[in-house]
Amino acid sequence: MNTADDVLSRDFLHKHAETPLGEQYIAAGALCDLSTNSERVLEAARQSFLPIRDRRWERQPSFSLRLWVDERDTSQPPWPKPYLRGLDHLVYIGLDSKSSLLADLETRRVIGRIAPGLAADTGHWRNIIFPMMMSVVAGSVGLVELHASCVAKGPVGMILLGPGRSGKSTLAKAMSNAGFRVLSDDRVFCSVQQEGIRAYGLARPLKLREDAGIWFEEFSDRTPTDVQNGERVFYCDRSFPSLQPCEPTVIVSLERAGDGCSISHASRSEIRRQIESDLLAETEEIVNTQATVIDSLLNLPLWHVECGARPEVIAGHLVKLLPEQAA
Amino acid sequence: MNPIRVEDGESFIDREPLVKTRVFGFATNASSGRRDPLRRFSSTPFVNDLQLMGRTVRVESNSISFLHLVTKYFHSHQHGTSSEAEFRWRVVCESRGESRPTEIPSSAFSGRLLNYVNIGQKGFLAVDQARRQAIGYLPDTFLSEQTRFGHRPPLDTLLCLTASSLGLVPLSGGCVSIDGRGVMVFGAPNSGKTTTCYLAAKSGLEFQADQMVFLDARQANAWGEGLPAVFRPETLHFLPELQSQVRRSSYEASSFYYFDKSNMQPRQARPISPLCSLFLQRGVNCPTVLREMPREEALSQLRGSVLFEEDQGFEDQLSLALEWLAQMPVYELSYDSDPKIAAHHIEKLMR
Repeated sequence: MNTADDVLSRDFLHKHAETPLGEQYIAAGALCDLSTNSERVLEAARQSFLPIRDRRWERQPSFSLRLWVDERDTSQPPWPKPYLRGLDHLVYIGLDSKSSLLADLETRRVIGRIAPGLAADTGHWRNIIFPMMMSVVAGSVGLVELHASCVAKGPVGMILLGPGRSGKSTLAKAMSNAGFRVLSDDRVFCSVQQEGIRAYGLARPLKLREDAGIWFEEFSDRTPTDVQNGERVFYCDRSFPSLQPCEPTVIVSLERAGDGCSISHASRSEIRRQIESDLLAETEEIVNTQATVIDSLLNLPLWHVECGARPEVIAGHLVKLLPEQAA
Repeated sequence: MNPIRVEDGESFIDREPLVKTRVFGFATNASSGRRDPLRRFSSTPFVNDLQLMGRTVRVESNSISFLHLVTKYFHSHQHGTSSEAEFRWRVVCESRGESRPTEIPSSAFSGRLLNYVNIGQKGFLAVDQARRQAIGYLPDTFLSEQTRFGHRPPLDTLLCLTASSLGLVPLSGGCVSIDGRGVMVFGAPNSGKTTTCYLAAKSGLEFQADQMVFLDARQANAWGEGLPAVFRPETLHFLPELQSQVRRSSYEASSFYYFDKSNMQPRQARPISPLCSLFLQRGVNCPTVLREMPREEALSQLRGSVLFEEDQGFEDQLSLALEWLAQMPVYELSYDSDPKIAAHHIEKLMR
């Protein structure tokens, strides 16, 4: 063992760490039971997930999350890129040299030790840590994570599947301008619930690449404030996605091509391939559970859209793919 | 390549080439063709059954060098016949092209029967006591280090986190022995445990431990360790002969010196039958007083020497082991600052 005070401490493992504060949330469709010793962590969770105010909702949590803030840790931002590694049912998320999470996918629990400075950074939790954690636990709690955007009007939703640069965010923004609420512009979590299939997003703000900004008047006099993968991007901080779920009624596979908008039926096999190509490796049991969700998604009307026209034009066509009451 | 693109709006987890999956107690989806950027289904084809204090631990790794390292690290235990593996350690070593850090901050946390230590941001060990399995990722810079000095691989940490599940109770303390009978040496930090054991060993005893001892709750005996002894800088003034035999190291604000005590240990690790326990109480200008503790006090002191708290589920095992040790005499030795006095008393207790 090392000679650091902490290591020499008899409570090296912090078995006596108290996490008396607790709340429950709907996190991407899963019931998350959070316990912590920090109001700041609760605030970050409230901004990231749907808090459950009504105790009648109480049921067995999909997963538990126990985050202990070590008040002695003086770490401050900027935070390094998280580091994720796992073997079998355990997955580690290193957030910095002393802050980390460990997910046990077998017992569906996540534990973690966090620096106070990190606990207070709600934006980092909302944009990075919680979405990453949800990607890790998704399969074990019965969720299928799609590389897609999702928009809805009322309860009725549309999933826009597509690889990077296919226009998911741009079309989500265009649909938003047309009166739809955006659940996500990039990652959508689907599950089969009692009422049927449901899609959820997370609270990450919608993001547009610089070249997509030209389509929207609100960005005409703005310059991108962030850089991602060498590309300048806008964050639409004023348009946080809706955490309320929708019932997806149609799936659209996007392909950027031409300068118009060509719509055709998509095959189940093609959509299945698209969905599965982006899923994480899981145990056979989880793969089988996810297959039920995927099959439900494939029973929806499936469309392929080649798009190159202005986003509002394409959005106008997409609206017509929705059931009449939503359109 | 760092597989995580934090700032990538497309994906939090990079797409990685498909990693061939491996079945070991888990049903895997080898045929699904899915990506495994978390490396959960990494192959660890190099396997060795490691003998440790009369138990067998199965070690699996992606690196043959790691297996060699572990075997070398615990070389004194590799004798006799191995039994069925009671625990599994799976450790993946990664090449990250990092230079060796001068110090690696670590921290630990736990849940019920689930403990983990992060070793810097990009290394960790996690122990699932319920499933009797530990996993870890370590930078391969550990492989090139000397196993017994400096930034050695955290195999002692892995052993300690696993110990309870193996029926072992780690205590913070030292031990010297002869002919399989030993004196257990305890005390607060800076009470002189290491120096006392070293001096006793110089007089002909075997230097079983100075950092931790393991009580064997099943066999009613104890085991030492093969870690380097850790001396404080001031000890080198007291024992100048050590100057040429130690290596300086540091952690955070502390400096200390490693000393390879393996030459003062038996080649093959054997269990020890404790004759007694000795708690060192070092003072300044105080008279030397040896007293035997009443049983209740002895139990309380021994409990205070437990290396770290564990889950309640191990309480019975812990109590049993401590009560067994307290059946032998437990002494407190108050002494002046000279550890030779303590070493001399140990020699007398051994007679």
